[in-house]
Amino acid sequence: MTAVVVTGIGVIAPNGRNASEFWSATLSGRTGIGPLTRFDATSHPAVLAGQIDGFDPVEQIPRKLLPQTDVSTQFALAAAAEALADANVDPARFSRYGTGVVTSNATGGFAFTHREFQKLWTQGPGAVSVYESFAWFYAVNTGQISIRHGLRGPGCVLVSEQAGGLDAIGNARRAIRLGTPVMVTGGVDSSFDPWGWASHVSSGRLSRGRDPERAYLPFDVDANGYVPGEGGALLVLEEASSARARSARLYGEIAGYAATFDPRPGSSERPPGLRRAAELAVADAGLRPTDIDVVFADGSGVRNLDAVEAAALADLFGPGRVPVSAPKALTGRLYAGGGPLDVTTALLAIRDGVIPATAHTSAVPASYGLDLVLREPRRAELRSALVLARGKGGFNSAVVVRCTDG
Amino acid sequence: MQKLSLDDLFDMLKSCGGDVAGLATTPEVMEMPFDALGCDSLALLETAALIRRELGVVIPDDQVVEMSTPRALIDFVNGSLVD
Repeated sequence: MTAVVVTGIGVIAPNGRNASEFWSATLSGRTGIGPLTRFDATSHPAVLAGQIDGFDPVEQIPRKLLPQTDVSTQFALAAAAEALADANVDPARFSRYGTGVVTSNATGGFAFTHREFQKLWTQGPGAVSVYESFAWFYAVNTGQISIRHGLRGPGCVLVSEQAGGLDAIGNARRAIRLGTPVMVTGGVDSSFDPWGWASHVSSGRLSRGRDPERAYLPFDVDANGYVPGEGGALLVLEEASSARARSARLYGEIAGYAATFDPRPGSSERPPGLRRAAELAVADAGLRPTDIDVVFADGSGVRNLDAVEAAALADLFGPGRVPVSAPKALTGRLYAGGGPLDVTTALLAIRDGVIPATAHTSAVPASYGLDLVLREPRRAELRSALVLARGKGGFNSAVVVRCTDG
Repeated sequence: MQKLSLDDLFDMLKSCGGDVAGLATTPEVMEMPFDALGCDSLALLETAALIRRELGVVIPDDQVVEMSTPRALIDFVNGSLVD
């Protein structure tokens, strides 16, 4: 089977506006979580967010795209450009349909749409931008990246809340196996306008904490919900032999992927699907659970969901048998951006032989049977990593990344 | 009422997603197709909506996409302003 490798990484995260900033923040424990300042959120039950500050779209994307893009699309365009530059890929050197895009997005162009709705209700339909027609849309990041960089091959979008970013990577891998040599893939979300924030709050899963270091504590005894973040990551995936032929730098291989759905709540005695997604992804990589050197967990921060994930890991690997971490404690949960950012973390962890810690979490229930990396990064020789993501609504996805030899 | 100039139109196009930044407003540009000026049909529809709000001139959607050059658009708008 064709091997699929990662040759480029682009990151836009609350604790780093490019891949190297993000990685050094992740290792040093620098948080991107703080009070939400995009609007006055002080009267809301949740007030903390993983917010990207200091992003100037004028510096990042062509001027003509400014009136037609939501901030989430501006983030996606910036990360895609970074990834393509990092991969040193020139799409024009491939066949006309030899390069494509698959992204994930969970919340659409919320802030843009909020603004246009305000115009609709206060000034009438004639004041609504024509660009609302696509700026709101989940698929718009795929489209804008495709147009900007001339990526004319397979193009699609996957929407499965926080699991979607891994689904996009799995789908891009399939496109490469079907004959497209280069795919840009990943996911980005942002929805920190008042309307978007209301949608987050309504999930009932947000932390009401006001201390950035105590609000989002994946797997902690005091876990009490999560903090939403914005941003994500875009990756360049390539068919391995073609990447090697052009002497590309290889971050690692997307070796396995699987997705499952949870049974409908109350409808079945079957367990949640996370364990099976993990097991299937490991098998898809041609590995056994004992081959996995580290797990980057979904790390919900919602107590019962943390317990479900811990049980799945203990069951698949044996209690305490594999190091687990959730570095997203420093960014919040990024929805579609979360999985690709964790895949980025996994690739850089393998490259540098280090597992970043789960910041802020200090006391893990013994019943979880988790070897959670706490307080400090842990040195370790890593060859294979499992990345997990769950999306609200029953989505479970898993990706296995593996080091490429030579 | 003040007539719509090519400079005015370019400012509008820029704020409406037309890719005209850096282009000089020379007489030749008046005759250039919007396509060649980096303005697609959505940029023109957005500009027509802005013209309606700012100048009160209504350009029907099916007509604005038929206007292929700045001259065609400016003549239509200024003709309507006279009436």
